[in-house]
Amino acid sequence: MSREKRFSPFRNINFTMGLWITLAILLIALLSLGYTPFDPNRMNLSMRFQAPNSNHWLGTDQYGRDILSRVMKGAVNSMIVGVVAVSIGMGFGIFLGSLAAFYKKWVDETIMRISDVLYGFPAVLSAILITSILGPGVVNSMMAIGIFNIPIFARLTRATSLSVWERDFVASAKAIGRSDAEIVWKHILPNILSPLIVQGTVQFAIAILAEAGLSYLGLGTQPPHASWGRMLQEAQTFMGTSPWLAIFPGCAIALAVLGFNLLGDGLRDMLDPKLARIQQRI
Amino acid sequence: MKKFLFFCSIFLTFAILTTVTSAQQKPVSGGSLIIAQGVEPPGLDPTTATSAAIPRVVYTNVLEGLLKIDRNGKVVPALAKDYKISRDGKEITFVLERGVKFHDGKPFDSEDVKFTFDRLMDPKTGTAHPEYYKDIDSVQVVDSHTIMFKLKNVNSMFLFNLARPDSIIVNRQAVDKIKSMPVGTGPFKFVEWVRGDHITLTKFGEYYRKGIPYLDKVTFKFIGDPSAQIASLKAGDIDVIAYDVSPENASLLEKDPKFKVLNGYTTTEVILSTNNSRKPFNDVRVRRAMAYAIDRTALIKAAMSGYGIPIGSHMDPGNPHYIDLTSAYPYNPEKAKQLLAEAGYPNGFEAVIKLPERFAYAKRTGEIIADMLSQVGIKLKIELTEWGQWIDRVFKNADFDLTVIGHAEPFDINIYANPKYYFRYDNPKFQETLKKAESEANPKTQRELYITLQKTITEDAVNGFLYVLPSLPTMKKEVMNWWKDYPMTAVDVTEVWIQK
Repeated sequence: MSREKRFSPFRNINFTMGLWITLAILLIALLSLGYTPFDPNRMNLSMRFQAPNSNHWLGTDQYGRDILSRVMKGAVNSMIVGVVAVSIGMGFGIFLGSLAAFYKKWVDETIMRISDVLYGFPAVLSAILITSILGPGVVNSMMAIGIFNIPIFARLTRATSLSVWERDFVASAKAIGRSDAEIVWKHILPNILSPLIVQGTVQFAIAILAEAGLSYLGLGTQPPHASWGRMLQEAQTFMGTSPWLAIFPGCAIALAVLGFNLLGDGLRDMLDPKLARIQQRI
Repeated sequence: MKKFLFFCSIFLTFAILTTVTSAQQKPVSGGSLIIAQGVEPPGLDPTTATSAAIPRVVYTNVLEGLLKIDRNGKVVPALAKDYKISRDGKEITFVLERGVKFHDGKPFDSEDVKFTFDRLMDPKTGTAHPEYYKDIDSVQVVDSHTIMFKLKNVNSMFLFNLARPDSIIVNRQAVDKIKSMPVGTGPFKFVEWVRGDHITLTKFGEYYRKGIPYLDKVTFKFIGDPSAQIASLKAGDIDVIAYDVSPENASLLEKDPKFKVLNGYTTTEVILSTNNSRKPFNDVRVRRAMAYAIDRTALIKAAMSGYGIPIGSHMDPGNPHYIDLTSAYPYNPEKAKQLLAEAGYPNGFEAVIKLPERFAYAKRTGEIIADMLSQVGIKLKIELTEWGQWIDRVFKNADFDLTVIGHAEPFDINIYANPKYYFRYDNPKFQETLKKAESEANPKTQRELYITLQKTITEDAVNGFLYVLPSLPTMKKEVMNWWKDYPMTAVDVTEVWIQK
């Protein structure tokens, strides 16, 4: 390989843009933990519906709360939901998928058929189902989004690890007497990690969208706490008079989803050896 | 000079008279009207179900009672031309209108009245409000157009109860169909009900009051989403949004020359319902502290864009017994803190406020109240509750600390006499006074008693009394004579007409 063709992640425009956007959102989220321009939940009824100005950069909402502070706090909310939901989905999904690929037969059948049923429901619908059973709230909505992520990771893990199990290095690992758990941990997982990471970033974006959807329906974050979906829902009736109430949280959702999707796309392009080779030839 | 003044005055009078007559244009017959309604009624029988969506379609349009509530909130004759009350107040004789026909052609007479009230008093009917008729001893047919009610006790609410949608006269030949296709005596007859979409009524040609109604056809279209209602109105698909136009949309549509918004009151008292049986809300000092901590004017401005009339007790300003008690607890957070300290909560306390997700006014009001109370140390955790769950947990089982809800029923101060009612207020003095007020025949003493009742619940700060919901019916400019105020859960289009 010549020097020019050395691996450089920043040659991939999707990855670069995605990374910058997600990093920016992450930084804003971290910043808002310690500092917001105003208290995001404190009402100021004499300052309602202020258009964006030098004091309130993104304006104020129907209760006179600072929209910038609320969008910032909303970022924390979205990030936490994304991390927790994807962790739940990955943790259980990889475990179940590995079990299915290893034991095959009825274990495989049972796990996969249950996944198929879960997978059959649209993501947001199953989240609504779960939150209406567990009750509304941010913790329950994270769990709900996490649960509908499980079958996605379970299927992916099973499908990719099945082929790895057939490879020669697994056979040799078996031959030298490694235990099954050790083989899964040391040989199977590292080899299927890249599709899982790609899927993880995509699911992260979907989780943010799902949380916004649930909050929009009143099942996610409860008032007065800020969430982008909730802000959007409350802004709906003020669209005609004060559009900035809806524009900024809407942009935040769009940007976050775009960022994670680009990141996922970029990662996929780079981590998939076949695609990478094709791109290099072009 | 005198002569000049004389002519001037004549000229002025003439000028004033002509302007008055031109302002009060003559109604024109014809045309059809499409009215948007947010909630589809679960059935069309107002006697056995409490849903306010039912009377909003059928009351006085299709089905009429002996009496009705007019646009000013007064009890006026409908199917009864006249009535006489005996000296002891226990016998009420109604003289019925003659020449009245049901929509199926059957003539209306006193047998229908007797049938109606025997049906309402029969426990098997499942009457929604049997308490309205508990004082009736018997209903006697005097002749074909005279009927007499014998009462067990004098009940000052009796005539009002007869004017409620619950007391509409049913057609004894068509009573089994009332839930799906009511046959009444009203100015409009029921044509069709396309479930999930609309109900159509058409003009009843043989209506006994001549010249009425003006409209040929009325359609109630069920559009649940408020923004879809507004969009349909702007697109010209509907003519009127009768209820539940959000205040911010009202102020927006008011500016549009094609539409008009009427700003009146309803009978819906929005209150901060407080569970009086739970700690710390069982302490009157805590409830009073909350009353002092709420700034009603700011609240109405922020939650309702300034529409809505503040109240100080559980009675709407349209009620003849209403007195203004809004100054009982002026906004005073210092006093609130002091009262909390006296009650043993110098640092406040924590509680949960359950808000019905379905109603924007309740959600907003609740959020603002949570913020206002937090400033005196009362930390409220907001829980948005789905409507079915709210009915079950809060209303039926009183499993709540605080909630915000509007009580739509007119003249419903009697709910405070029921210790089992969801806010669990048990005051024997109130219960006794209410009994006295209901059986008082002298209107003056009766009014005094109702004033005492209002004052009692204000003194006890049973609930946070906030405001009366504005009516805000919104319509095309051409729609005339619509009710500005809603003293009854009704959309009475009997006298509505369309300007050509």
